[in-house]
Amino acid sequence: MQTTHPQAFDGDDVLFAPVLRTGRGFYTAAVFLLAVAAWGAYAYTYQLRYGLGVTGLNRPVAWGFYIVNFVFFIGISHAGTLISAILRLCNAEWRRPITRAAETITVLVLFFGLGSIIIDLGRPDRLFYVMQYGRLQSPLLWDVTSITTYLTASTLYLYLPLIPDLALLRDRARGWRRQLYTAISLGWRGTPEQHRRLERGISVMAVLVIPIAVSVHTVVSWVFSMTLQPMWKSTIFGPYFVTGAIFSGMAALIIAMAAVRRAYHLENYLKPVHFNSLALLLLTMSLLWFYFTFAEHLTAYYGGELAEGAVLFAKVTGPYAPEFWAMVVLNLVIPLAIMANRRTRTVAGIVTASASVLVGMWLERYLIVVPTLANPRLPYARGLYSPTWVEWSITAGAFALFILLYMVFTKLFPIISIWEVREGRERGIQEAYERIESYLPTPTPGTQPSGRVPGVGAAVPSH
Amino acid sequence: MERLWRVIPVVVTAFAAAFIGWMIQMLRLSWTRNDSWGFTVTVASVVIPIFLVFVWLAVYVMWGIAREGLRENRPGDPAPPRPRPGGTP
Repeated sequence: MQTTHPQAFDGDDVLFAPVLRTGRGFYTAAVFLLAVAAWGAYAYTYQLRYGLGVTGLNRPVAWGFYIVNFVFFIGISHAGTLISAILRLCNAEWRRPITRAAETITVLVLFFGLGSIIIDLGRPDRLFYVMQYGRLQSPLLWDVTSITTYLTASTLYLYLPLIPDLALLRDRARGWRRQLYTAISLGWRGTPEQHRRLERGISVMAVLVIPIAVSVHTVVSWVFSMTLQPMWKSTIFGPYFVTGAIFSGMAALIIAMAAVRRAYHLENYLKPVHFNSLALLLLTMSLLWFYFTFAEHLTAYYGGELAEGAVLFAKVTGPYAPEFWAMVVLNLVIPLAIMANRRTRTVAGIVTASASVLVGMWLERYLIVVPTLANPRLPYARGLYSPTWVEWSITAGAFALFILLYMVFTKLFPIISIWEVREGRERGIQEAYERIESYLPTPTPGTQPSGRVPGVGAAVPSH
Repeated sequence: MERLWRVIPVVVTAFAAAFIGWMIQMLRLSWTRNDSWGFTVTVASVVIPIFLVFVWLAVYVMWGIAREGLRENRPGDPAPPRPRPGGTP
Protein backbone atom coordinates (compact mmCIF):
# COMPACT_ATOMS: atom_id res chain seq x y z
CA MET A 1 0.00 0.00 0.00
CA GLN A 2 1.40 3.39 -1.02
CA THR A 3 1.42 5.79 1.91
CA THR A 4 4.01 8.26 0.77
CA HIS A 5 4.31 11.43 -1.19
CA PRO A 6 5.56 10.83 -4.69
CA GLN A 7 8.64 12.90 -3.85
CA ALA A 8 11.90 11.13 -4.40
CA PHE A 9 13.66 9.65 -1.42
CA ASP A 10 17.22 10.50 -0.69
CA GLY A 11 20.10 8.09 -0.31
CA ASP A 12 18.70 6.49 2.82
CA ASP A 13 15.39 5.44 1.29
CA VAL A 14 16.01 1.83 2.29
CA LEU A 15 15.60 2.98 5.89
CA PHE A 16 12.17 4.48 5.16
CA ALA A 17 11.00 1.51 3.14
CA PRO A 18 10.10 -0.82 6.06
CA VAL A 19 7.99 1.94 7.61
CA LEU A 20 6.14 2.98 4.52
CA ARG A 21 5.70 -0.35 2.73
CA THR A 22 4.70 -3.72 4.16
CA GLY A 23 5.13 -7.02 2.42
CA ARG A 24 3.30 -10.32 2.71
CA GLY A 25 6.01 -11.88 4.85
CA PHE A 26 5.30 -9.44 7.65
CA TYR A 27 1.62 -10.35 7.77
CA THR A 28 2.35 -14.08 7.67
CA ALA A 29 4.77 -13.81 10.58
CA ALA A 30 2.41 -11.49 12.45
CA VAL A 31 -0.52 -13.92 12.16
CA PHE A 32 1.60 -16.80 13.43
CA LEU A 33 2.95 -14.79 16.37
CA LEU A 34 -0.50 -13.46 17.17
CA ALA A 35 -1.86 -17.01 17.25
CA VAL A 36 0.85 -18.07 19.74
CA ALA A 37 0.21 -14.96 21.84
CA ALA A 38 -3.54 -15.66 21.79
CA TRP A 39 -2.87 -19.19 23.01
CA GLY A 40 -0.77 -17.74 25.83
CA ALA A 41 -3.61 -15.33 26.68
CA TYR A 42 -6.03 -18.25 26.82
CA ALA A 43 -3.69 -20.08 29.20
CA TYR A 44 -3.55 -17.00 31.41
CA THR A 45 -7.32 -16.66 31.56
CA TYR A 46 -7.44 -20.36 32.46
CA GLN A 47 -4.99 -19.69 35.29
CA LEU A 48 -7.00 -16.67 36.43
CA ARG A 49 -10.14 -18.76 36.52
CA TYR A 50 -8.79 -21.81 38.34
CA GLY A 51 -5.94 -20.24 40.30
CA LEU A 52 -2.23 -20.98 40.52
CA GLY A 53 -3.05 -24.63 41.23
CA VAL A 54 -3.04 -25.22 37.48
CA THR A 55 0.68 -24.44 37.39
CA GLY A 56 3.55 -26.60 38.59
CA LEU A 57 4.19 -24.24 41.50
CA ASN A 58 4.02 -25.98 44.83
CA ARG A 59 5.41 -25.92 48.33
CA PRO A 60 8.35 -25.29 48.66
CA VAL A 61 8.89 -24.28 44.97
CA ALA A 62 6.70 -21.19 45.00
CA TRP A 63 8.56 -19.46 42.16
CA GLY A 64 8.88 -21.06 38.74
CA PHE A 65 8.77 -20.07 35.10
CA TYR A 66 7.20 -16.68 35.71
CA ILE A 67 9.94 -15.46 38.01
CA VAL A 68 12.57 -17.02 35.72
CA ASN A 69 11.03 -15.08 32.84
CA PHE A 70 10.94 -11.93 34.95
CA VAL A 71 14.67 -12.11 35.70
CA PHE A 72 15.44 -13.09 32.11
CA PHE A 73 13.40 -10.26 30.55
CA ILE A 74 14.79 -7.65 32.90
CA GLY A 75 18.25 -8.93 31.98
CA ILE A 76 17.54 -8.66 28.26
CA SER A 77 16.48 -5.08 28.82
CA HIS A 78 20.10 -4.21 29.48
CA ALA A 79 20.68 -4.73 25.78
CA GLY A 80 19.53 -1.40 24.85
CA THR A 81 19.73 1.50 27.06
CA LEU A 82 22.89 0.51 28.87
CA ILE A 83 24.86 -0.53 25.79
CA SER A 84 23.54 2.37 23.77
CA ALA A 85 24.30 4.91 26.51
CA ILE A 86 27.81 3.61 27.11
CA LEU A 87 28.64 3.62 23.42
CA ARG A 88 27.15 7.11 23.04
CA LEU A 89 29.14 8.51 25.95
CA CYS A 90 32.31 6.86 24.65
CA ASN A 91 31.73 8.46 21.24
CA ALA A 92 31.92 5.03 19.63
CA GLU A 93 31.06 5.97 16.05
CA TRP A 94 30.05 2.42 15.12
CA ARG A 95 27.11 2.71 17.51
CA ARG A 96 25.05 4.88 15.17
CA PRO A 97 23.13 2.18 13.23
CA ILE A 98 22.56 -0.06 16.25
CA THR A 99 21.36 2.20 19.08
CA ARG A 100 17.69 2.35 18.06
CA ALA A 101 17.40 -1.45 17.73
CA ALA A 102 18.92 -1.79 21.19
CA GLU A 103 16.79 0.87 22.90
CA THR A 104 13.62 -0.63 21.43
CA ILE A 105 14.42 -4.02 22.94
CA THR A 106 14.81 -2.39 26.34
CA VAL A 107 11.47 -0.61 26.37
CA LEU A 108 9.43 -3.50 24.98
CA VAL A 109 10.99 -6.23 27.06
CA LEU A 110 10.54 -4.29 30.29
CA PHE A 111 6.78 -4.56 29.87
CA PHE A 112 7.15 -8.33 29.76
CA GLY A 113 9.36 -8.28 32.84
CA LEU A 114 6.70 -6.38 34.75
CA GLY A 115 3.98 -8.55 33.19
CA SER A 116 5.70 -11.72 34.42
CA ILE A 117 5.33 -10.50 37.99
CA ILE A 118 1.65 -9.79 37.50
CA ILE A 119 1.15 -13.24 35.95
CA ASP A 120 2.89 -14.78 38.96
CA LEU A 121 0.30 -13.24 41.26
CA GLY A 122 -2.64 -15.48 42.03
CA ARG A 123 -4.74 -12.37 42.68
CA PRO A 124 -3.45 -9.62 40.39
CA ASP A 125 -6.21 -7.29 41.60
CA ARG A 126 -4.33 -7.05 44.88
CA LEU A 127 -1.44 -5.35 43.09
CA PHE A 128 -2.99 -2.02 44.00
CA TYR A 129 -2.32 -2.77 47.66
CA VAL A 130 1.34 -2.23 46.82
CA MET A 131 0.49 1.30 45.79
CA GLN A 132 -1.71 1.94 48.80
CA TYR A 133 0.09 0.20 51.63
CA GLY A 134 3.56 -0.62 50.31
CA ARG A 135 6.49 -0.76 52.72
CA LEU A 136 9.78 0.35 51.27
CA GLN A 137 11.57 -2.01 53.62
CA SER A 138 10.82 -4.83 51.18
CA PRO A 139 13.22 -5.51 48.27
CA LEU A 140 10.12 -6.40 46.24
CA LEU A 141 9.00 -2.79 46.50
CA TRP A 142 12.50 -1.60 45.63
CA ASP A 143 11.99 -3.63 42.46
CA VAL A 144 8.69 -1.91 41.69
CA THR A 145 10.33 1.47 42.20
CA SER A 146 13.51 0.80 40.24
CA ILE A 147 11.82 -0.91 37.31
CA THR A 148 9.24 1.88 36.97
CA THR A 149 12.08 4.40 37.00
CA TYR A 150 14.02 2.37 34.44
CA LEU A 151 11.01 1.95 32.17
CA THR A 152 10.31 5.69 32.23
CA ALA A 153 13.96 6.56 31.62
CA SER A 154 14.30 4.02 28.81
CA THR A 155 11.13 5.20 27.09
CA LEU A 156 12.34 8.80 27.17
CA TYR A 157 15.78 7.70 26.02
CA LEU A 158 14.19 5.90 23.08
CA TYR A 159 11.86 8.78 22.26
CA LEU A 160 14.29 11.69 22.28
CA PRO A 161 16.61 10.48 19.48
CA LEU A 162 13.49 9.44 17.57
CA ILE A 163 12.16 13.00 17.23
CA PRO A 164 14.19 14.08 14.16
CA ASP A 165 13.34 10.83 12.39
CA LEU A 166 9.66 11.35 13.16
CA ALA A 167 9.92 14.69 11.41
CA LEU A 168 11.50 13.01 8.39
CA LEU A 169 8.61 10.58 8.28
CA ARG A 170 6.07 13.37 8.80
CA ASP A 171 7.35 15.04 5.65
CA ARG A 172 6.97 11.83 3.65
CA ALA A 173 3.91 10.00 4.98
CA ARG A 174 0.25 10.48 4.17
CA GLY A 175 -3.06 9.89 5.90
CA TRP A 176 -3.18 8.77 9.53
CA ARG A 177 0.55 8.23 9.57
CA ARG A 178 1.20 11.84 8.72
CA GLN A 179 -1.11 12.93 11.54
CA LEU A 180 0.60 10.56 13.97
CA TYR A 181 4.11 11.70 13.06
CA THR A 182 3.07 15.34 13.13
CA ALA A 183 1.67 14.95 16.62
CA ILE A 184 4.68 13.18 18.11
CA SER A 185 7.49 14.93 16.26
CA LEU A 186 6.92 18.06 18.40
CA GLY A 187 7.16 20.39 15.44
CA TRP A 188 10.76 19.45 14.76
CA ARG A 189 12.39 21.51 12.03
CA GLY A 190 16.02 20.95 12.76
CA THR A 191 16.69 24.52 13.91
CA PRO A 192 19.87 25.14 15.90
CA GLU A 193 17.86 25.80 19.07
CA GLN A 194 15.94 22.55 18.70
CA HIS A 195 19.18 20.66 18.11
CA ARG A 196 20.75 22.28 21.15
CA ARG A 197 17.88 21.26 23.41
CA LEU A 198 17.64 17.77 22.00
CA GLU A 199 21.35 17.03 22.31
CA ARG A 200 21.37 18.34 25.84
CA GLY A 201 18.45 16.10 26.75
CA ILE A 202 20.05 13.04 25.15
CA SER A 203 23.35 13.70 26.93
CA VAL A 204 21.66 14.04 30.34
CA MET A 205 19.64 10.87 29.78
CA ALA A 206 22.70 8.92 28.58
CA VAL A 207 24.46 9.73 31.85
CA LEU A 208 21.40 9.14 34.01
CA VAL A 209 20.31 5.87 32.48
CA ILE A 210 23.53 3.97 33.21
CA PRO A 211 23.28 4.00 37.03
CA ILE A 212 19.54 3.38 36.76
CA ALA A 213 20.12 0.31 34.58
CA VAL A 214 22.84 -1.05 36.85
CA SER A 215 20.70 -0.47 39.92
CA VAL A 216 17.71 -2.25 38.38
CA HIS A 217 19.40 -5.59 37.98
CA THR A 218 21.23 -5.20 41.26
CA VAL A 219 17.87 -4.73 42.95
CA VAL A 220 16.52 -7.78 41.10
CA SER A 221 19.44 -9.78 42.53
CA TRP A 222 18.68 -8.42 46.01
CA VAL A 223 15.22 -10.00 45.85
CA PHE A 224 17.17 -13.26 46.15
CA SER A 225 20.30 -12.33 48.06
CA MET A 226 18.51 -10.49 50.88
CA THR A 227 17.11 -13.85 51.98
CA LEU A 228 18.97 -16.58 53.88
CA GLN A 229 18.29 -19.22 51.24
CA PRO A 230 21.25 -21.42 50.23
CA MET A 231 23.19 -20.13 47.19
CA TRP A 232 21.11 -16.96 47.16
CA LYS A 233 22.70 -15.13 50.06
CA SER A 234 25.77 -13.90 48.25
CA THR A 235 27.55 -10.57 48.11
CA ILE A 236 28.48 -11.02 44.45
CA PHE A 237 24.89 -11.54 43.32
CA GLY A 238 24.55 -7.87 42.29
CA PRO A 239 27.48 -7.75 39.86
CA TYR A 240 26.80 -11.37 38.84
CA PHE A 241 23.27 -10.45 37.78
CA VAL A 242 24.38 -7.26 36.03
CA THR A 243 27.04 -9.19 34.10
CA GLY A 244 24.53 -11.84 33.10
CA ALA A 245 22.06 -9.14 32.10
CA ILE A 246 24.50 -7.35 29.81
CA PHE A 247 25.60 -10.71 28.42
CA SER A 248 22.08 -11.84 27.51
CA GLY A 249 21.13 -8.33 26.38
CA MET A 250 23.96 -8.23 23.88
CA ALA A 251 22.96 -11.62 22.52
CA ALA A 252 19.39 -10.41 22.07
CA LEU A 253 20.61 -7.26 20.34
CA ILE A 254 22.75 -9.24 17.89
CA ILE A 255 19.82 -11.48 16.98
CA ALA A 256 17.49 -8.49 16.54
CA MET A 257 20.07 -6.75 14.34
CA ALA A 258 20.53 -9.84 12.21
CA ALA A 259 16.75 -10.24 11.82
CA VAL A 260 16.08 -6.65 10.69
CA ARG A 261 19.19 -6.71 8.50
CA ARG A 262 17.91 -9.73 6.64
CA ALA A 263 14.23 -8.78 6.57
CA TYR A 264 14.74 -5.16 5.45
CA HIS A 265 17.93 -5.55 3.39
CA LEU A 266 20.00 -3.32 5.65
CA GLU A 267 23.35 -4.93 4.82
CA ASN A 268 24.78 -1.54 3.93
CA TYR A 269 23.99 -0.19 7.42
CA LEU A 270 24.45 -3.18 9.71
CA LYS A 271 27.80 -4.33 8.45
CA PRO A 272 29.95 -7.28 9.54
CA VAL A 273 32.11 -4.81 11.46
CA HIS A 274 29.17 -3.99 13.74
CA PHE A 275 28.57 -7.67 14.43
CA ASN A 276 32.28 -8.22 14.94
CA SER A 277 32.53 -5.41 17.49
CA LEU A 278 29.53 -6.71 19.41
CA ALA A 279 30.88 -10.26 19.18
CA LEU A 280 34.11 -9.24 20.87
CA LEU A 281 32.10 -7.57 23.64
CA LEU A 282 29.95 -10.70 23.90
CA LEU A 283 33.06 -12.85 24.17
CA THR A 284 34.36 -10.66 26.98
CA MET A 285 31.03 -10.91 28.80
CA SER A 286 31.04 -14.69 28.34
CA LEU A 287 34.38 -14.96 30.11
CA LEU A 288 33.28 -12.53 32.80
CA TRP A 289 30.07 -14.48 33.31
CA PHE A 290 32.06 -17.72 33.67
CA TYR A 291 34.37 -16.07 36.20
CA PHE A 292 31.42 -15.07 38.39
CA THR A 293 29.73 -18.46 37.98
CA PHE A 294 32.92 -20.29 38.91
CA ALA A 295 33.51 -18.05 41.94
CA GLU A 296 29.92 -18.48 43.10
CA HIS A 297 29.96 -22.26 42.87
CA LEU A 298 33.50 -22.77 44.19
CA THR A 299 32.70 -20.73 47.30
CA ALA A 300 29.60 -22.82 47.94
CA TYR A 301 31.58 -26.05 47.46
CA TYR A 302 34.57 -25.06 49.59
CA GLY A 303 32.42 -23.74 52.43
CA GLY A 304 30.99 -27.20 52.92
CA GLU A 305 27.78 -25.84 54.39
CA LEU A 306 25.11 -28.56 54.26
CA ALA A 307 22.21 -26.54 52.85
CA GLU A 308 24.40 -24.93 50.18
CA GLY A 309 25.94 -28.30 49.33
CA ALA A 310 22.49 -29.78 48.74
CA VAL A 311 21.68 -27.07 46.19
CA LEU A 312 25.11 -27.22 44.60
CA PHE A 313 25.08 -30.98 44.10
CA ALA A 314 21.48 -30.92 42.92
CA LYS A 315 22.74 -28.63 40.17
CA VAL A 316 26.05 -30.25 39.29
CA THR A 317 25.30 -33.97 39.65
CA GLY A 318 21.65 -34.16 40.71
CA PRO A 319 18.30 -33.69 39.01
CA TYR A 320 19.32 -30.31 37.52
CA ALA A 321 22.63 -31.54 36.06
CA PRO A 322 21.43 -31.66 32.42
CA GLU A 323 20.32 -28.03 32.62
CA PHE A 324 23.49 -27.00 34.46
CA TRP A 325 25.93 -28.53 31.98
CA ALA A 326 23.83 -27.38 29.06
CA MET A 327 24.10 -23.87 30.51
CA VAL A 328 27.91 -24.12 30.68
CA VAL A 329 28.14 -25.38 27.10
CA LEU A 330 25.70 -22.78 25.75
CA ASN A 331 27.11 -19.80 27.64
CA LEU A 332 30.81 -20.56 27.50
CA VAL A 333 31.91 -23.40 25.23
CA ILE A 334 29.91 -22.54 22.12
CA PRO A 335 30.45 -18.74 22.23
CA LEU A 336 34.13 -19.25 22.96
CA ALA A 337 34.57 -21.77 20.16
CA ILE A 338 32.83 -19.56 17.62
CA MET A 339 33.92 -16.08 18.57
CA ALA A 340 37.53 -16.67 19.57
CA ASN A 341 38.22 -17.92 16.06
CA ARG A 342 38.36 -15.25 13.38
CA ARG A 343 37.26 -17.70 10.68
CA THR A 344 34.04 -18.64 12.47
CA ARG A 345 33.35 -15.09 13.70
CA THR A 346 31.12 -14.39 10.72
CA VAL A 347 27.63 -12.87 10.95
CA ALA A 348 26.07 -16.35 10.85
CA GLY A 349 28.51 -17.63 13.45
CA ILE A 350 27.91 -14.66 15.75
CA VAL A 351 24.14 -15.08 15.49
CA THR A 352 24.49 -18.80 16.30
CA ALA A 353 26.58 -17.97 19.36
CA SER A 354 24.05 -15.33 20.43
CA ALA A 355 21.14 -17.75 20.15
CA SER A 356 23.16 -20.19 22.23
CA VAL A 357 23.75 -17.51 24.87
CA LEU A 358 20.07 -16.57 25.02
CA VAL A 359 19.02 -20.17 25.73
CA GLY A 360 21.92 -20.61 28.14
CA MET A 361 21.07 -17.48 30.08
CA TRP A 362 17.43 -18.50 30.40
CA LEU A 363 18.67 -21.80 31.85
CA GLU A 364 20.97 -19.88 34.18
CA ARG A 365 18.00 -17.90 35.55
CA TYR A 366 16.09 -21.18 35.95
CA LEU A 367 19.00 -22.70 37.86
CA ILE A 368 19.19 -19.72 40.18
CA VAL A 369 15.48 -19.74 41.03
CA VAL A 370 14.33 -23.35 41.17
CA PRO A 371 17.03 -25.58 42.79
CA THR A 372 17.34 -23.30 45.82
CA LEU A 373 13.59 -23.30 46.43
CA ALA A 374 13.46 -27.07 45.91
CA ASN A 375 16.18 -27.54 48.57
CA PRO A 376 15.27 -25.02 51.26
CA ARG A 377 17.36 -24.26 54.32
CA LEU A 378 14.45 -24.73 56.72
CA PRO A 379 13.38 -28.32 57.48
CA TYR A 380 10.67 -28.55 54.84
CA ALA A 381 10.36 -31.55 52.59
CA ARG A 382 12.44 -31.11 49.46
CA GLY A 383 10.45 -30.53 46.33
CA LEU A 384 10.61 -30.80 42.58
CA TYR A 385 9.21 -28.44 40.01
CA SER A 386 7.61 -29.53 36.80
CA PRO A 387 5.96 -26.78 34.74
CA THR A 388 2.54 -27.46 33.26
CA TRP A 389 1.13 -26.59 29.84
CA VAL A 390 -0.16 -23.32 31.32
CA GLU A 391 3.34 -22.09 32.15
CA TRP A 392 4.79 -23.28 28.84
CA SER A 393 1.94 -21.60 26.94
CA ILE A 394 2.19 -18.29 28.79
CA THR A 395 5.96 -18.28 28.31
CA ALA A 396 5.64 -19.00 24.59
CA GLY A 397 2.93 -16.36 24.31
CA ALA A 398 5.10 -13.75 26.02
CA PHE A 399 8.03 -14.40 23.69
CA ALA A 400 5.77 -14.36 20.63
CA LEU A 401 4.11 -11.12 21.70
CA PHE A 402 7.48 -9.49 22.30
CA ILE A 403 8.69 -10.43 18.81
CA LEU A 404 5.40 -9.24 17.33
CA LEU A 405 5.59 -5.86 19.09
CA TYR A 406 9.19 -5.46 17.94
CA MET A 407 8.09 -6.14 14.36
CA VAL A 408 5.23 -3.64 14.69
CA PHE A 409 7.68 -1.04 16.01
CA THR A 410 9.84 -1.48 12.91
CA LYS A 411 6.73 -0.81 10.84
CA LEU A 412 5.94 2.43 12.65
CA PHE A 413 9.39 3.87 13.25
CA PRO A 414 12.80 3.57 11.55
CA ILE A 415 14.76 0.86 13.30
CA ILE A 416 17.98 2.64 12.36
CA SER A 417 18.44 6.21 13.49
CA ILE A 418 18.51 8.04 10.17
CA TRP A 419 19.58 11.45 11.44
CA GLU A 420 22.37 9.97 13.53
CA VAL A 421 23.71 8.02 10.56
CA ARG A 422 23.65 11.21 8.50
CA GLU A 423 25.28 13.15 11.29
CA GLY A 424 27.97 10.49 11.39
CA ARG A 425 28.62 10.97 7.69
CA GLU A 426 28.68 14.76 7.98
CA ARG A 427 30.56 15.26 11.22
CA GLY A 428 31.62 11.92 12.66
CA ILE A 429 34.64 11.25 10.49
CA GLN A 430 36.17 14.65 11.15
CA GLU A 431 35.37 14.50 14.87
CA ALA A 432 36.85 11.01 15.16
CA TYR A 433 40.01 12.17 13.40
CA GLU A 434 40.32 15.22 15.63
CA ARG A 435 39.74 13.09 18.72
CA ILE A 436 42.41 10.57 17.74
CA GLU A 437 44.76 13.41 16.90
CA SER A 438 44.18 14.86 20.37
CA TYR A 439 45.28 11.56 21.98
CA LEU A 440 48.62 11.53 20.21
CA PRO A 441 51.72 13.45 21.27
CA THR A 442 52.17 16.72 19.41
CA PRO A 443 54.68 16.13 16.59
CA THR A 444 57.86 18.13 16.47
CA PRO A 445 57.37 20.95 13.94
CA GLY A 446 58.63 20.03 10.54
CA THR A 447 58.64 16.25 11.04
CA GLN A 448 55.01 15.45 10.27
CA PRO A 449 52.76 17.27 7.82
CA SER A 450 49.57 18.43 9.48
CA GLY A 451 46.39 16.64 8.38
CA ARG A 452 48.11 13.46 7.30
CA VAL A 453 47.83 10.05 8.85
CA PRO A 454 51.30 9.02 10.12
CA GLY A 455 52.79 6.16 8.18
CA VAL A 456 50.13 6.29 5.51
CA GLY A 457 50.64 9.61 3.91
CA ALA A 458 47.02 9.97 2.86
CA ALA A 459 45.35 13.24 3.65
CA VAL A 460 42.31 13.03 5.91
CA PRO A 461 39.29 14.44 4.13
CA SER A 462 38.25 17.79 5.47
CA HIS A 463 34.57 18.64 6.00
CA MET B 1 -2.58 19.69 15.05
CA GLU B 2 0.09 21.89 16.64
CA ARG B 3 -1.71 21.61 19.98
CA LEU B 4 -1.03 17.88 19.96
CA TRP B 5 2.68 18.64 20.24
CA ARG B 6 2.03 19.52 23.86
CA VAL B 7 0.46 16.17 24.72
CA ILE B 8 3.68 14.22 25.22
CA PRO B 9 5.40 16.76 27.53
CA VAL B 10 2.19 17.04 29.54
CA VAL B 11 1.85 13.25 29.83
CA VAL B 12 5.49 12.88 30.94
CA THR B 13 5.09 15.64 33.52
CA ALA B 14 1.81 14.19 34.81
CA PHE B 15 3.33 10.71 35.15
CA ALA B 16 6.37 12.06 36.98
CA ALA B 17 4.10 14.08 39.28
CA ALA B 18 2.00 10.98 40.00
CA PHE B 19 5.10 8.96 40.86
CA ILE B 20 6.48 11.68 43.10
CA GLY B 21 3.05 11.91 44.72
CA TRP B 22 3.16 8.17 45.39
CA MET B 23 6.58 8.52 46.99
CA ILE B 24 5.25 11.32 49.20
CA GLN B 25 2.33 9.06 50.16
CA MET B 26 4.87 6.34 51.11
CA LEU B 27 6.77 8.86 53.22
CA ARG B 28 3.57 10.00 54.93
CA LEU B 29 2.49 6.41 55.60
CA SER B 30 5.90 5.51 56.94
CA TRP B 31 5.99 8.58 59.22
CA THR B 32 2.48 8.22 60.65
CA ARG B 33 2.96 4.51 61.37
CA ASN B 34 6.57 4.85 62.47
CA ASP B 35 7.41 2.02 60.09
CA SER B 36 10.67 1.63 58.10
CA TRP B 37 11.22 5.39 57.97
CA GLY B 38 14.92 5.07 57.11
CA PHE B 39 14.33 2.85 54.09
CA THR B 40 11.53 5.07 52.83
CA VAL B 41 13.57 8.26 53.10
CA THR B 42 16.55 6.60 51.39
CA VAL B 43 14.54 5.30 48.45
CA ALA B 44 12.55 8.52 48.09
CA SER B 45 15.67 10.68 48.20
CA VAL B 46 17.10 8.71 45.26
CA VAL B 47 13.97 8.38 43.17
CA ILE B 48 12.36 11.81 43.53
CA PRO B 49 15.34 13.72 42.04
CA ILE B 50 15.40 11.31 39.10
CA PHE B 51 11.75 12.01 38.36
CA LEU B 52 12.42 15.72 38.69
CA VAL B 53 14.99 15.28 35.91
CA PHE B 54 12.22 13.72 33.82
CA VAL B 55 10.09 16.78 34.49
CA TRP B 56 12.98 18.99 33.38
CA LEU B 57 13.24 16.87 30.25
CA ALA B 58 9.56 17.35 29.49
CA VAL B 59 9.63 21.08 30.13
CA TYR B 60 13.02 22.17 28.83
CA VAL B 61 13.63 19.70 26.01
CA MET B 62 10.23 18.58 24.75
CA TRP B 63 8.20 21.71 25.43
CA GLY B 64 11.13 23.81 24.24
CA ILE B 65 11.36 21.93 20.95
CA ALA B 66 7.60 22.21 20.44
CA ARG B 67 7.63 25.94 21.26
CA GLU B 68 10.45 26.46 18.81
CA GLY B 69 8.43 24.61 16.17
CA LEU B 70 5.42 26.84 16.82
CA ARG B 71 7.54 29.97 16.74
CA GLU B 72 8.73 29.10 13.26
CA ASN B 73 5.12 28.74 12.17
CA ARG B 74 3.93 32.10 13.51
CA PRO B 75 2.49 34.28 10.71
CA GLY B 76 4.45 37.44 10.04
CA ASP B 77 7.73 35.90 11.08
CA PRO B 78 10.56 36.15 8.62
CA ALA B 79 10.73 33.13 6.38
CA PRO B 80 12.45 30.30 8.24
CA PRO B 81 15.51 28.68 6.78
CA ARG B 82 14.88 25.74 4.53
CA PRO B 83 13.62 22.99 6.87
CA ARG B 84 16.21 20.32 7.45
CA PRO B 85 14.39 17.76 9.54
CA GLY B 86 16.96 15.44 10.92
CA GLY B 87 19.79 17.40 9.42
CA THR B 88 22.47 19.04 11.45
CA PRO B 89 22.30 22.78 12.00
